[in-house]
Amino acid sequence: MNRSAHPVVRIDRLSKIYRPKRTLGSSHSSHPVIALNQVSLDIERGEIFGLVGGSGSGKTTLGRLLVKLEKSDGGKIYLSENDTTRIRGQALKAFRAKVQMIFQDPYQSLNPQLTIFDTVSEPLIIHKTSSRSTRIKKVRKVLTTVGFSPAEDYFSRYPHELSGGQRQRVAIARAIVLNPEFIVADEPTSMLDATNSFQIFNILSDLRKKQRVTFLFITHSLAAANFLCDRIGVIYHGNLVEKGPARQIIRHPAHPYTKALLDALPSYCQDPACTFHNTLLESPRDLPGSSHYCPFFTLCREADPYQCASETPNMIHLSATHSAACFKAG
Amino acid sequence: MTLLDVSNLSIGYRLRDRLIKAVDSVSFSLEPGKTLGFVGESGSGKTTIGMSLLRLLPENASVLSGSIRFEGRDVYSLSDESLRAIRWKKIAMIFQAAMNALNPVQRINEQVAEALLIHHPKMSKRDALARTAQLFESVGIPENRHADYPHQYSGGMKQRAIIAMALICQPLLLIADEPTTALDVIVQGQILKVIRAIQQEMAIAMIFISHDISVVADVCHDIAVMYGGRIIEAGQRSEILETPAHPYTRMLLASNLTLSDHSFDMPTVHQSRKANIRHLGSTKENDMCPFVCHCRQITDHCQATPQKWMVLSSSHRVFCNNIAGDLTK
Repeated sequence: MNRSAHPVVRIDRLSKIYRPKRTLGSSHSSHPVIALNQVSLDIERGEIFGLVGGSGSGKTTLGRLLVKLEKSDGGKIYLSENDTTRIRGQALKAFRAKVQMIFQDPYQSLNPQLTIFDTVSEPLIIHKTSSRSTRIKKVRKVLTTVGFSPAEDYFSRYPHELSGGQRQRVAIARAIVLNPEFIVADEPTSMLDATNSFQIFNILSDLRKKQRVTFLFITHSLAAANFLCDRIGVIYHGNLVEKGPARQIIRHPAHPYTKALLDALPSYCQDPACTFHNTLLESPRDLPGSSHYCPFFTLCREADPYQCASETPNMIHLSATHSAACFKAG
Repeated sequence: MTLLDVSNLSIGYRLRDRLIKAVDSVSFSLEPGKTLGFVGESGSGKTTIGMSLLRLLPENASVLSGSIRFEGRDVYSLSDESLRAIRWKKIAMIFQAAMNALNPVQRINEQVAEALLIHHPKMSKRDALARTAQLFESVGIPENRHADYPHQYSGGMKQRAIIAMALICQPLLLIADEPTTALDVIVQGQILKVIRAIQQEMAIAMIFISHDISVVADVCHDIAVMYGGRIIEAGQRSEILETPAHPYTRMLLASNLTLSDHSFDMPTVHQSRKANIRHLGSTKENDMCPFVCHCRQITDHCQATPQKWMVLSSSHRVFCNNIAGDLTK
């Protein structure tokens, strides 16, 4: 495996299983849901890593595990090569200052009763890093970084006085005020209009360039990932099915699901240099009887009726940086 | 004959102390079998236009001026009886998030057949279900799933059922309000394919509303770009995509990411948003540019004088008198 010497984040065979709670009257059996199935990847310092997948693919779950909003059911998470999988207490508090999250919905992620100043300065108070006068300076600085000018005009405003794009920029300011090493941005633009989204993308891109912040950028759009990210990982039903440099994935996708994601983009978003891959079945085929099979078997037009129905594909290295979990790749 | 002709339509919402103009002097027309897309950001008035065509505006909204003529008849002067003859039978709508409004305790095919039975009381339930089954086939719901309940359907399947429900009375005009929002990417691609196929097969006229210009471009012959309650540019798909004239349309297209795009400097959006909501009363500002607070190529002239429509071709018009010379860039 081509691994950089010091990735900021390394995850090793990370799994998450949601088990249904047994409640009174739940007669028919509900199965545990494997939200993440042994996902491994490295995120290098100063890069934006794009995690792309459809609804229910497990991309948000992975983000929440990385910031420790949820507990994993197997595997390890390393931050700067320190095992952080089971940390607690003071170590966890120190971890929280280094790892931050930007949530999907800025209408829900900001406390409506806190002013913008209080929202952005709260992490500084919790982590007792500075006096009030330094706090004011820091808040002014990060609000300016995310495009509020003059920043003071916004100090005493409340979230309801701001537009969706402005709220999301406040959420970004709150995430960067502690100078974290790593930020998970979970579909930060899915609730915003196109012009506002574009502004958010540019802020994230700037933060990476100027302050070397490392990002996991979660999105459903390969076009957005291509625009913003250095590398992309494609996730399907909890399985990482392909990873590699963004351009490589767009121009030479190897996994049929990645190809289906590219095909699904409206024609205006397509790259004229890319072809239509047509890897998706019109109607899904039945699950194979065996317990091992390719997770994409039911929807894959190219699936082999024997091999893909009886074995689970492992990641195959197509080049030093590009790999895909498909028997037909390469 | 023109199927739908909307002229100079303005719609206002009454709030406690003022009236807000959500739609301002909007005119467009639609020929049978053609598709027109409305694109614009949230609050630009797209949904209000869609709702007004079926006279479904909320209580506090009113048509301030202008007219909506469907097959030559003014929709707002129809009696309740004749309005009912048009609703769903001739104009049907896919409402925003309609798939979440399916009745959870009724089988899907029965819900869809019910829409047909209400408008054709003499039809037998069997015939209605047979017609429903036919339509389910064309929107891609497999036969063994027709009689399921909504909770057994995925989001994409529910949206297919909603499309079938809108088409069940064979309307002449279909209004689709954000029909793919909240769907998974791959499912969105599939639903757009269904909508395109059905539109061509049934030669149905369609008004397609979305905030996503790339989705609109996938489905529509003509595109109207809205900003602050006004149409600010309208034309054929190729005219809007290839030679956009209005600074807002250009900004919208530039912010829409494609697979060929990579990080570059974005066109700046100015911060002030105050002029988004314009109050009625000072009628003089009626024809002022709605984009004046955000425009990058603003001149003193823009703020001082009312704008006029500029005609760029027989189908392409723009509500800006300060457009740059070469449109192909």
